[in-house]
Amino acid sequence: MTDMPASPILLSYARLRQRRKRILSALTLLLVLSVILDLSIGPSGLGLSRSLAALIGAESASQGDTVIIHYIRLPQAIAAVLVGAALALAGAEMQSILRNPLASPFTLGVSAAASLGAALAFVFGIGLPGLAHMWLVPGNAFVFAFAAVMLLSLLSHRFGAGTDTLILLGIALVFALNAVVALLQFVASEAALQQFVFWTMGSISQVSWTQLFILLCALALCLPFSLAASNAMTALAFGVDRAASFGVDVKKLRFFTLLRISLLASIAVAFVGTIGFVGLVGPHIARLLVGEDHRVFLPASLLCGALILSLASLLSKTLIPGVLLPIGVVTSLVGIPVFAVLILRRGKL
Amino acid sequence: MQGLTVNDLWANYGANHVLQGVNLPDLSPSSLTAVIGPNAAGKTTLIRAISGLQMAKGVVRLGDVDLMQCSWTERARHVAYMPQHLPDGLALSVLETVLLPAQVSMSPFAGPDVALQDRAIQILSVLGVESLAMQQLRSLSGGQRQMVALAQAMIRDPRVLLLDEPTSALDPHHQLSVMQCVRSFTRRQQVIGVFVCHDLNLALTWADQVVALHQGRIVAHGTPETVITSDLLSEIYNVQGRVERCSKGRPLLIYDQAI
Repeated sequence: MTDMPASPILLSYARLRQRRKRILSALTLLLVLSVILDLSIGPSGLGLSRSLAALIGAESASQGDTVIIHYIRLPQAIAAVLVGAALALAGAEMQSILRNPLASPFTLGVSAAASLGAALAFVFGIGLPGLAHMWLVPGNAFVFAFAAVMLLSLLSHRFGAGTDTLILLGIALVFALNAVVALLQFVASEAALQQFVFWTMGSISQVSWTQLFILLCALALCLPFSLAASNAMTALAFGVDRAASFGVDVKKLRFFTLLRISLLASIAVAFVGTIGFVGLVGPHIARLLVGEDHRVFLPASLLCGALILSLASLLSKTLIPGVLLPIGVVTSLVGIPVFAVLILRRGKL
Repeated sequence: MQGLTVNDLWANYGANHVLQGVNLPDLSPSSLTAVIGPNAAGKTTLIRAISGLQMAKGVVRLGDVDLMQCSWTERARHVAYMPQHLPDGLALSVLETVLLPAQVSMSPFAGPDVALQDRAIQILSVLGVESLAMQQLRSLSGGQRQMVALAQAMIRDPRVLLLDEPTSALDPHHQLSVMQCVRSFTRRQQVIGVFVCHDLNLALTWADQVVALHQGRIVAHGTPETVITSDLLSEIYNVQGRVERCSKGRPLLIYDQAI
């Protein structure tokens, strides 16, 4: 028995799989380059060589450089990668189980729910009992975002709501939550309003190492299960009936996938605020690059999301010299035109 | 060999009883059965219930295996169900599409299974669409997609093949190709084939036996010519028609008018 494919079809299939592996490697390489660039650019003017020296703890690096790299640039660069990866993986899985290319944590109300939770913390100081003050906003955002996905999950699981219905409910949820948030903004004090508005713009500049560690754990926890379910998710792309007749327990698949989505999306949004479109655009680019075999599509989505947010982090520092734009603003500026194109070309992607 | 038994099968949508105690004649391996009936007679519900996709009460057994009690994975080993249309916007190649049902139960981390790939190509070649193997699903015509869907249903070597209107929206060439493939597959692999169809001439030509459903009940079953009669047409379809023999002796249904 040999593993060498014999027919020309199998040879070209083997080449296709090789090509996809190369695309994954290229995305990884680009991501590494982007992170290095991201580390070497910032308002303090540390260039590439000094940044790298400080990063690896070289003797030539000054204490100031080391502090800037280790406490400012490195956490931000890693945050961009982890948040982008988490949101894009969540978006890819959401699009797959809802079988809708417009699904993402941002479009289905997860970010809006997190905003409401954050607004309650900023405006009224309402939060989970027993939580330290610094965790009030992320704690609230997490609980609300998690509740939003659970609500969608419940509707899908218990009442058999169709995927189109879920998308419409998600959109309704976005409007309803935004209305409540607007009301809170109306009654908020000036200081609270300022903090909240900054949070809603999405920023990775305030992320702590502890938060990054939590996000990394969430990704490390979810990714193996996502990959294990990848064949079942590809099957679901053919419709619920076909997937079930292939032997997929669709209800179970949906429930556990929504659980993973809620963990990834709500933790990411809780720590960095509203960062739109990464969860939507990342999977779309991945789909164009590697197709819809989820064994490759899911890692490609994760890498695309990480790369997009890492590049957005770079742009947020370089678009207006000397000004650090909130990263959520940058992703929205890039994401909205892409989103519009997706809607106009719906069904073709 | 193991036959398929369906007894006293009930299914409903809300208060609407779609299947009302359906008893199918025993379906034996290598046989091809057509399920006919007017719209809303319960045809699709019947084959969805047999495949476990529709909540139903009653007995569905394949030999000694109680299909009603099976897990999804277990049932998928015995029964393949082909819904009407294969989605058209997917970024997957034909070969990947055909391999997928067999891969669902395999680890996504396993390496390529060359034997399985060979088998997929063999099936595509039997269906005459081997040349499409590396094409994207979205680039195929409706007829080609239907052949791919059929290959997808065949890859797991099911004991029961359930097809929901396999030839709807196909031109005569593809209609014949699909039905020829289905019949030779059921005969060669000793599979129990069941297909739902609206085209009664298709049932007359290809089925070994026909089951006529009306308002959730079986009103007739037997060989095609004993079931598809003028009386049945007027009773359940509200049309006048007759079965005549063409010059080659084959039965042919001719519709005269709606009643």
